[in-house]
Amino acid sequence: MNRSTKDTLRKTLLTVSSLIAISAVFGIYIYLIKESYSAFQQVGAELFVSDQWYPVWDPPEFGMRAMIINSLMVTLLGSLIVVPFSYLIAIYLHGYAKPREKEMIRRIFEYLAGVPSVVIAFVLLAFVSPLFAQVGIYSPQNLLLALVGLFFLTIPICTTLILESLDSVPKQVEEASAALGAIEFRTYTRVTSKAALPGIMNAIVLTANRIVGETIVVLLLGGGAAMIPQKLTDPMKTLTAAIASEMPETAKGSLHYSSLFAAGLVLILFSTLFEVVSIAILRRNKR
Amino acid sequence: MNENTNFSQEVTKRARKSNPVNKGMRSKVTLRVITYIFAALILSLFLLALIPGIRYWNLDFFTQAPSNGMTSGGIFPALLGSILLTLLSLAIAIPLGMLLGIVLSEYNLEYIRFVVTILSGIPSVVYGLFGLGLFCITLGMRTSILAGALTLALMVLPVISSSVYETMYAIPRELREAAYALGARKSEVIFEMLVPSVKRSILTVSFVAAGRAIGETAPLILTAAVFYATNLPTSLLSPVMTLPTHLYFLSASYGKNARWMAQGTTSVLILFVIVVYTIAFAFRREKK
Repeated sequence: MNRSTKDTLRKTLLTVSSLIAISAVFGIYIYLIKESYSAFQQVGAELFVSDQWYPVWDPPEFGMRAMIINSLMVTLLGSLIVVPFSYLIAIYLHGYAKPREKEMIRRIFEYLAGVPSVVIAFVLLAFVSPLFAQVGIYSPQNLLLALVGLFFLTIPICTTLILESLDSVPKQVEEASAALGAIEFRTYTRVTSKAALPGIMNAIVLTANRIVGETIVVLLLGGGAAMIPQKLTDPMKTLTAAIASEMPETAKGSLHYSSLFAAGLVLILFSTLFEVVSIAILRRNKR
Repeated sequence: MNENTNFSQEVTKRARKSNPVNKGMRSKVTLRVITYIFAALILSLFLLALIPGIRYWNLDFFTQAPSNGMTSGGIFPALLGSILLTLLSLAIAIPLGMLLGIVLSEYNLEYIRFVVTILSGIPSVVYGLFGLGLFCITLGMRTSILAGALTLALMVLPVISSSVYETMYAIPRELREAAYALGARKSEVIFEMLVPSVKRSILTVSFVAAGRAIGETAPLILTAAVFYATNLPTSLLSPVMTLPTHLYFLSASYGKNARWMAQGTTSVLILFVIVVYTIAFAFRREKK
């Protein structure tokens, strides 16, 4: 093969790979819109204003407002639980831990990040869920258990991202703060954290994105009632859980099928929004 | 007299409390306790996933198909399905992810970076919906290994490409300039100098991606997996059982009699993850 054909071939390969990435994003959007079109046409606004999700009844009802609210609520509560703890752990690892200690604990978190969500869900289902019955909670799978599962699922990503942004703050900033008489804890929480704020915010956004898209944990641990839970021990169902649990038994091309694609469309809009916010935070920080 | 000692004790106590050094110690100890509690919780999660299931491992467990309504037999079809799906999806995603990583690093195209970031954030179940719509229905692959592998490949693509991008981007400018000065073209600089120097990191990320791919459940429920396959897969268009979906179906719809099998499957999955990540970390450390 001569030099310029090789050159052309390699350039073509690179172009093809970029085209595949671009068409994947557009393809996913187009497919979701195309397949959910008939749900929008036939069910219309009821999709988003009704709480009645009875897709296999006669007549069926396709109101997924409760599931949208559940998805957002789980995201909010999950982030509220996981972010503060991640922050404290990251501060410890950044400022106080010895190098070996830091390396070891980081390693534990990295392994946890690789644990499949179905494994986390099963362990909680097998060992924690039965405890609910003993304290008289009627639903062994509920919002609380799902939040515990989400906590284990997201704490490694959140901690690692916050730690990375704390570690990337220049040492001189901390030394200046110490020279002014601030104790370590004050330096880390007031000075280093302030300098690392964009990174920390980015970590929060990506954590939220991870939670909103999580399926198996909320499906197996959430209890699966398409209603808005009134307390932590009520069962609930999110958009992701509805898609994964109902799609295999749904007739392709039916209204139920189409409205599950509409649920997917709502999800991808959330995730795109989160990613755009994350990009914006990082870009503003660069300047 | 008594009052006096109380007073001096109080003064010492307050002084100790407001002493910045002691304050610092307290926060250090508190933070350490929090960190260690969570590290312990995570370790116990690993142990609970790994240990109770190991006693169900025997030759039959790995070589038999489940029988009697998932209450006896083994997990061979699921094991086979997971291995096939993971290997096939990686065979598609690694070359593609490498090329995409090169584009991210060597061509300053803002919109490609944007696209990859968006891809990396899309929920796995949405990938599943897309795979179901495009591969299974429109392209007529039905519920099959191929449809599942393509969907998984698309999912791990951003993971692989952003990792290749990071390592390649970190290679010093001067090296590229030196190659250009010798008369190399851009594609030659990339494929003959940069790619060989990121080989090891591609190996690392392949293992990380394998860990990701083998544990994915939701997209496979939609595109590739059935809860019970009567036959072993005969072609790329056969449906399969996989370890994570097997575990999911067992925990979702089978009772106490199938629990031993779920525990055994959990142990296999977690052991797999530990092994794969340990290899990945070993490669990464060697690089340092």
